[in-house]
Amino acid sequence: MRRATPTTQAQRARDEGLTRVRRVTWLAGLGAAAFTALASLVAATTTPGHTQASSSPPAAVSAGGTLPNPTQQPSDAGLAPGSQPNAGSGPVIVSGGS
Amino acid sequence: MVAVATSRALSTGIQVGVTRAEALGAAQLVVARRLDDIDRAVSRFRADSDVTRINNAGGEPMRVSDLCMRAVRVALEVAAATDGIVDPTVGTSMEALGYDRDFAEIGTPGARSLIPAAGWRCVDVDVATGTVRVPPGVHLDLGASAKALVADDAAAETAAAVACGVLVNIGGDMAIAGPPPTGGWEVRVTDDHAAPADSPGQTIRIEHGGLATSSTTVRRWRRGDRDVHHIVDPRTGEPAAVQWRTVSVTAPSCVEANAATTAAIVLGLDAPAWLSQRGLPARLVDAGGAVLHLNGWPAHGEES
Repeated sequence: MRRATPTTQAQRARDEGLTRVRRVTWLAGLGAAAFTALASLVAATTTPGHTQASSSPPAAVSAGGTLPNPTQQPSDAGLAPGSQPNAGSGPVIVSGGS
Repeated sequence: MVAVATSRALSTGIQVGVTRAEALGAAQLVVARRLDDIDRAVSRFRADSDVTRINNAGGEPMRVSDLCMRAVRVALEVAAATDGIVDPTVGTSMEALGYDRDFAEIGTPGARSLIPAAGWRCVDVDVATGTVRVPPGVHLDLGASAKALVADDAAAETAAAVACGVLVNIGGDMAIAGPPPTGGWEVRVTDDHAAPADSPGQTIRIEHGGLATSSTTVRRWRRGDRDVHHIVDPRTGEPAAVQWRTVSVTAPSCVEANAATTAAIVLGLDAPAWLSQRGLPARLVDAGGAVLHLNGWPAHGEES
């Protein structure tokens, strides 16, 4: 019976070690992917996106001042830049006294 | 595609606009509910409204709905921000002028003594108990600021409900919420919210916030031997002198825009400086029809 030489034992130990490292690496990758998926699911459930893309300030009046303070810079008042009439593009909306 | 529906409520014209035509019906339902709520809360001409109960309480605190409480507080904020130029206690002044019933029923009241407003500081609000109190004989009129408030609220609520851009126009005072149409909402600014689209005025586009117009050319009636209008100077109880027949303002909200237009009408010659101090884009039309643009209001597109 042929006895394993020290060199062969060392090679086997090395191979077994490499196999363990590969297994650990694979499991770590699998775990990371699973964690990422779980984190994404939690984020999507708890802080859903919204479709209102308006940059306008809240419509509600906050306490402590309904109008801009005197000497304030021109307010962000919603006029479209270079507000050219878009002739005949839509229904007529009228702002006038009532 | 933009779609707009027109109707009537609160004795004025209503427009609801959406950027997704299929959402128009649902948007109208949300706005109609809000209009009904505010009418029940603040109408001076409904016996069952909170404001009527406050006005008739003989100086006793009156428990009111949350919406009425909010409308009163907003009106008081407007009064504070305008140094009392826009004052919710003008109800008594309006009644003395003959505006003591729905506008369509006013007729030709006889001349009575004018009554200056008692002043907003006499209004007691107790948030903890949900009560509002005014001294005996003092009557609230939250009309203008309450309509603007409901425009802001209804636009925000509707945009959230139907997931598209929304414009709510209550008698010419409007609020915008959600993403606007490309280039903004196209609006004709003129003397009368019920006027046809080709009336003298200007077409502008607005993307967010509020736009309001106040005018002395509408809601007028005969009192004794003279014509009067509905924008009262609280300091005198008289209709404001007509330096500006129509003022339009854009602001971050409809409440702010409405407060500024009303204040500008009352302030007369002092209005341009007042508006400029606050940086509010404005269009003022004087009694003779000359137009003044301030603070970034677009200059082009005026049509007489």
